[in-house]
Amino acid sequence: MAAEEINASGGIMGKQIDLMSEDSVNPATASTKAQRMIEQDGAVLLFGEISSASSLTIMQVAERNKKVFFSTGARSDALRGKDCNRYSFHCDIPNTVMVNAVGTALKQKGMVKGKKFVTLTADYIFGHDLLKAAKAFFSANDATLIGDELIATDVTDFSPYLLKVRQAKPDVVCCNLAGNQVTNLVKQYAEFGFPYPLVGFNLNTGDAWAMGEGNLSGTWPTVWYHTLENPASKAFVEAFSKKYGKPPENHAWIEYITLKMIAQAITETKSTESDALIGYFEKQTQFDIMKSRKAYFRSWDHQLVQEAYPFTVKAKNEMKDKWDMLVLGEAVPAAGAELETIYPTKTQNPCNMKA
Amino acid sequence: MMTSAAKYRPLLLAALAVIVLPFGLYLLGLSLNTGTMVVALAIAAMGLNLCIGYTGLVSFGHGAWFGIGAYAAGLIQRNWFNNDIFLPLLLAAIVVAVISTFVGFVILRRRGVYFSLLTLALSALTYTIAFRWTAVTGGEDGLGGLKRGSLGPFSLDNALNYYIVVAALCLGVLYLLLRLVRSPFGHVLMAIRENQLRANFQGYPVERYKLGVFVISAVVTGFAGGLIGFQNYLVSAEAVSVPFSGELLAIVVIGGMRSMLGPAIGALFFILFRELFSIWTPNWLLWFGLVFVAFVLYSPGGLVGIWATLAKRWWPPPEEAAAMSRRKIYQGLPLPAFLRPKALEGIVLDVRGVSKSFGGIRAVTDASLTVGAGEIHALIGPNGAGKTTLFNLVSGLYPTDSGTIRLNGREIQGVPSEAICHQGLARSFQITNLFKGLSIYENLRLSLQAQSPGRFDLWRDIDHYRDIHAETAELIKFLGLEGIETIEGGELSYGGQRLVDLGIALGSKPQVLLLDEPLAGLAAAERERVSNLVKNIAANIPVLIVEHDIDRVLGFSRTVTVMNQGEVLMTGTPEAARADRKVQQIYTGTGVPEVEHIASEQARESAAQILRFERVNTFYGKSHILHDATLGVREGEIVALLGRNGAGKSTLLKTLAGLVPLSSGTIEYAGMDISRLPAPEIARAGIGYVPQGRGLFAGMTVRENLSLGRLARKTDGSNGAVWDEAQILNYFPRLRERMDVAADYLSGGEQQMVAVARVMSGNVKLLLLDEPFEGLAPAVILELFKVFDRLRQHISIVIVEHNLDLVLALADRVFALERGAVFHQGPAQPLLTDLEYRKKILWL
Amino acid sequence: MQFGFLLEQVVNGLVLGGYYLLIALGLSLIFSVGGIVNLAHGAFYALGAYISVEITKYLGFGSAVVLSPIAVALLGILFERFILRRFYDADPILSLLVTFALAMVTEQAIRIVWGAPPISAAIPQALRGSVFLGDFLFSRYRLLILAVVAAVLLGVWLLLHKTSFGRVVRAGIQRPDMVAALGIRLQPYMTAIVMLGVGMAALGGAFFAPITIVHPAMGAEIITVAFVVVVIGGLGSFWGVVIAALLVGVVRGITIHFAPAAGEASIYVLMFLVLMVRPRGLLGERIEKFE
Repeated sequence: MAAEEINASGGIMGKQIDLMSEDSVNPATASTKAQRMIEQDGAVLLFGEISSASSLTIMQVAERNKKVFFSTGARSDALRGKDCNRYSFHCDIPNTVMVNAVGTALKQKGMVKGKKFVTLTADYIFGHDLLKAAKAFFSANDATLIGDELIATDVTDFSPYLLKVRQAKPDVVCCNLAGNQVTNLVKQYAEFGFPYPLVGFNLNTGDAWAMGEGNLSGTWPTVWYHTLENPASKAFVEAFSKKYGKPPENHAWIEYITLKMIAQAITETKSTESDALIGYFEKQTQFDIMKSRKAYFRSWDHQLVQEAYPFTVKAKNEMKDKWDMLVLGEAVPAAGAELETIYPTKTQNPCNMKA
Repeated sequence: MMTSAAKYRPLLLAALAVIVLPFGLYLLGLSLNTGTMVVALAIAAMGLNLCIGYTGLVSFGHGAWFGIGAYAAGLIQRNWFNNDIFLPLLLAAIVVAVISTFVGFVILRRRGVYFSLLTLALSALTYTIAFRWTAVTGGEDGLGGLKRGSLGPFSLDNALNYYIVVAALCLGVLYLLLRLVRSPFGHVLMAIRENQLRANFQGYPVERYKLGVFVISAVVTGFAGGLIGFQNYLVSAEAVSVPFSGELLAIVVIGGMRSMLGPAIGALFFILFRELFSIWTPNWLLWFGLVFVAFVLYSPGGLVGIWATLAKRWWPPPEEAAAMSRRKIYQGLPLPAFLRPKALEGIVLDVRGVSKSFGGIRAVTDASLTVGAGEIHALIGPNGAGKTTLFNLVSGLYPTDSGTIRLNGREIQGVPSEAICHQGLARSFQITNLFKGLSIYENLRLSLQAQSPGRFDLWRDIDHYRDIHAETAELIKFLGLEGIETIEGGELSYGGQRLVDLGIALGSKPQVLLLDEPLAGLAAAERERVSNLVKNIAANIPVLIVEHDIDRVLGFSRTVTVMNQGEVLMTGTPEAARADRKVQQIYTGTGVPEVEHIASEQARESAAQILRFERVNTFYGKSHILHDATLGVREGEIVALLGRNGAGKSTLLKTLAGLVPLSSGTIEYAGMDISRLPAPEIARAGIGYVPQGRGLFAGMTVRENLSLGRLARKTDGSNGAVWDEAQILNYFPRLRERMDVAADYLSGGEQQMVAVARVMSGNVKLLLLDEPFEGLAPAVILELFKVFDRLRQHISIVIVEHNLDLVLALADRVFALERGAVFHQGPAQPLLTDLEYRKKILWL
Repeated sequence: MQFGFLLEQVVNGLVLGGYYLLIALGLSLIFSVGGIVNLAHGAFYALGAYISVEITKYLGFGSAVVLSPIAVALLGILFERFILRRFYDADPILSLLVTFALAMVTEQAIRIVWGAPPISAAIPQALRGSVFLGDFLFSRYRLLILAVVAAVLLGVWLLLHKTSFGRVVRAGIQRPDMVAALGIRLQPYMTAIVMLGVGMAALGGAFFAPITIVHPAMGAEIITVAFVVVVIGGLGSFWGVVIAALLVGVVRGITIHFAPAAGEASIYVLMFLVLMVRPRGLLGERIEKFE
């Protein structure tokens, strides 16, 4: 949609942009396809990808080919830290931020200090990373982690793990899974009907909708939600809903703003050269991304620094439609605090970019 | 022999292809990396095809080797050889070899579908390990950060350089594979594909060959996996997944598994299909799947097969219909010198007290016989006497339960067949058992090759072994097959196949030769020639022969052993055998009816004909069983079919019942043509069939068996007689207590009663009985006899029975068959009482 | 405590085993009667799940679990008529290949119709929650599944052993020629068996749709395990499959409890162990054409 808007208003520097897309499926295909788009189809830059594993391989492709890559959905801290490189930019919020967002909300409800937690963690780069962030948060806030299950990403039946969770008798169950598995866990958690609250450090709004009524509960983080109160956001939601018949979910939003930022960069630098673009973003140029505060890419790790939000689930009778199921909490960090306070610091997540 | 240009033509073609490929891809707008992918996948698919196309082992799990090769190369590079790919690739090949040896050891114990399913499971297992063992494989993240390194001054990160390296390696692998399939080892693989059992009896330890090819195939595929891993700078679990294994399989099938380069073409097809289709539809896999389905359904030979079919249409080969007539026959050739064993003396084969049971049924009991140097020893006896079982025991197909078998003084019971072959015992098979997809020449060459020390050679070309070729040519000349060497075994007439079967056994350079019905199915002139051949062979190699052409076999053998019901009845000279009363009884009966003759003598010439069976020809594969067989049955008549074993009696009944399709002729029953009707329709029309062995359904009670008889046929008596339960119990009172007993727990007699009662539970107008008295006690025989005799009031019966006294007493008329044709017909009465006339007509 | 907990895992394993059983039993039946190794069986399972999700939207869960298997069984008629029928007398490897390709096609077709992202269904409100028995806790919905599987199993057993339909089928497995010689045409029975087999797979799909995600590759995920069950039980054996399915479920459940990462691998290790001791599976018999 962003591409259409940009092209409709005359394109960038008078040229239309030509958007190509491919499904990445898994890391190997992601890498092959990225390579092919650059070589065969002459792509000048790449953006997209949700999976941290696939993102990692595309980042490597980008670096080898010296093309800029915007990772729009990958949240692993490691991508911004030890795996970072000069050609890769990260638009979504990293794990630490998500943990902090949910954690802040939980702290307000008194659900952290002195409580026992069990985590269910996806067994790959993203999950490990999220677990690390969560552990850091627990130890900083006097919570104990009494159980920690690593779950492979192809598991669809969580019942054996749920039975183990019950045995541990925790105060709070924490979901560090990603994608479909979150949906699935939430459904099966509802099926067993345990009394322990389930919270999660990662959820996409699309998955929340997919869970169906009455399954989801607890507190979760998000980077953006279509009920956000600000004029730019509302205009976008309206235009999107008109076109697709449903409100945008967070990936639609992030791809939209990413493309807008790229267009802005190309227009202003009058170049599609990687070096020029990198230079432009590294100046920490401020962008309007439909949130109350502007966002910018941190120069040292290429992270888009922005607000994040925790949310809880609306009671069924309060929903206006099936997409209106979440109640957004206060933006994190609280107004007045520096945006960077919820992001990992250089010492926590060091990134050494090769020039 | 082929010129080396012809031998290595695939290599030349491939070299040309890897040069042209990048330009072709460029024209299609595809990149060099795609080319590298094609070439590497081609290696993987060619490796897989060693298993599938060459050896007939359909592996659904070669992705496992592809992935293991890739992971191993990646891990080795990351841990020990940073920035080099060649050592890691080499070491990974060794890793794959070691692992596949262990795995092959377990899963090669199973064949066919089981093997395929086990490989499927292997792939799934490897996938879960790769996906779960994050610490080693990187799990979901994959094993990234691989490097391509460089070759001298050339960085392999450059796509062209890497392509050149992969292409060169591909040609290297292809060269090795070509050497392999042209080696003695490679030829044995094809023999295993065509007929594993026969290869085993030829003296090849097939399990070792299979393990060998499995490991080589795994290594080649794994090597390709490594190349693609470095190509992507990444290995992920998808490489070992079941879907990827399936894609590899599809590549092989679509390309064509009967040729070396077929899979390579398949790889190109796959990648082009993916690249080009994915431009206009994201659902390219759907179309690919449909293409795959279409290939399996309509062109199992793949793209190469389509090409061959088209080529045949455009440039039809010269007609080769009269294959057998093109051969040159040299009469009276002596046995080639290389086949003559060194000075045999005394007893060569000594079988003593051998017994064998199958599930409680004694097939052979305490059988003994000896075969001395220079003799032809005939083994005769009726069907089910245990002759073939004894052959199978001697040649090592089954282990014996007890007894000893000595070959030149060494005990061979319990020794594997291929080792027995090497000790000097070779056999032919009753049902032709050769390598149907291989040429006659190759069939025989394989036998001679098995005797050569070079039989395990992986490297030398078979043409290197000139002595084997020379011997093969001589053997072919001796057998009279010269001029048709290049014809495939399966294309040959039945008689030709019998001859090749004999040749395969002879080619093993045996010291004693076991021939199982070498004359069966041969035309008269050919019989004469083959018996001369056997006599010729026997001058040097002692022969133990099973044959139903008793006149002939007694004519040329020195000793005869007669078996009956699993036991040796007598051993002696042919004259003694002819004179032996017990032997005569087996074949012609006593001439004294065992039961009182009840059959009414009334002439039935006036009765209407119910069945007209005219000039019917039936084939089992190549073998021509019924030869213009003609007979007729009248209403209320009992007709007996007589004839030696293998004369075609049972086949005639099955043809009548619609269980065997006929190739020509008419069968008219009750005024309608039933020759092309399916069996159920024929049964519903009132033809009831009781097979040899009764054909009851095991695990079901008598009542259940009977109910199946009633299920689909009319039971109103409108077309024929029918028994309700009361009548069944009236005929067979002893079934009353047996109604709820499982049929397989009944005695033989009771089983036969149930079989008859079952068939009579629906309308029957013509009853077909195959050996109804076989293996029954006299009292039961009498009971059944009376029932059949009463039945003639209502229906007609065609009966096949080897107990002549019984069947002649029962029958009104007889038809005698020989080699599928009726040679005698007439009333039963004279044959029943006049034993001399019976002998004249039927035997001796 | 530990014991009660292990019991939970065992019961959970039985549910999982029952789920495998619904797929594997049909697979085994089609295999025994037609000699067909149906790698497309998982595709029918997936279709069952998708169709039930669709039906649930309009008619509710109760109708979905009844109608979806029926719809898939009807598809089975086409499958038997146009594909399988050509392969009854052919080399089983060919049917293996063609059904494999068909599974691939179906998966892609599902992708086109329902899209690649997973869809989902919810457990009806009345069936949610757990059952407590002292320290023993279990999901009500899963207990329901266990009951359904037991009922289906009983039904199939009765059908095969107490009806004339079953007699013909069992007779056809042993001696198809004799069945024909008694005037019975086996063809309709083959069709019925295929319908029954794929219908059971669809039933599995319908019941598991609410507690797991419904996605295009779900058929491919289950088919390998289903075959492992059949191979462990022995090709062509009814009770072999039953025992193997439950065994696999329980072994997997318990392995996940002690070593989660080895959960999937345990199934295959079990298979290789069984085959080392009994090459034709627990209760398998020698069938010449599959050797």
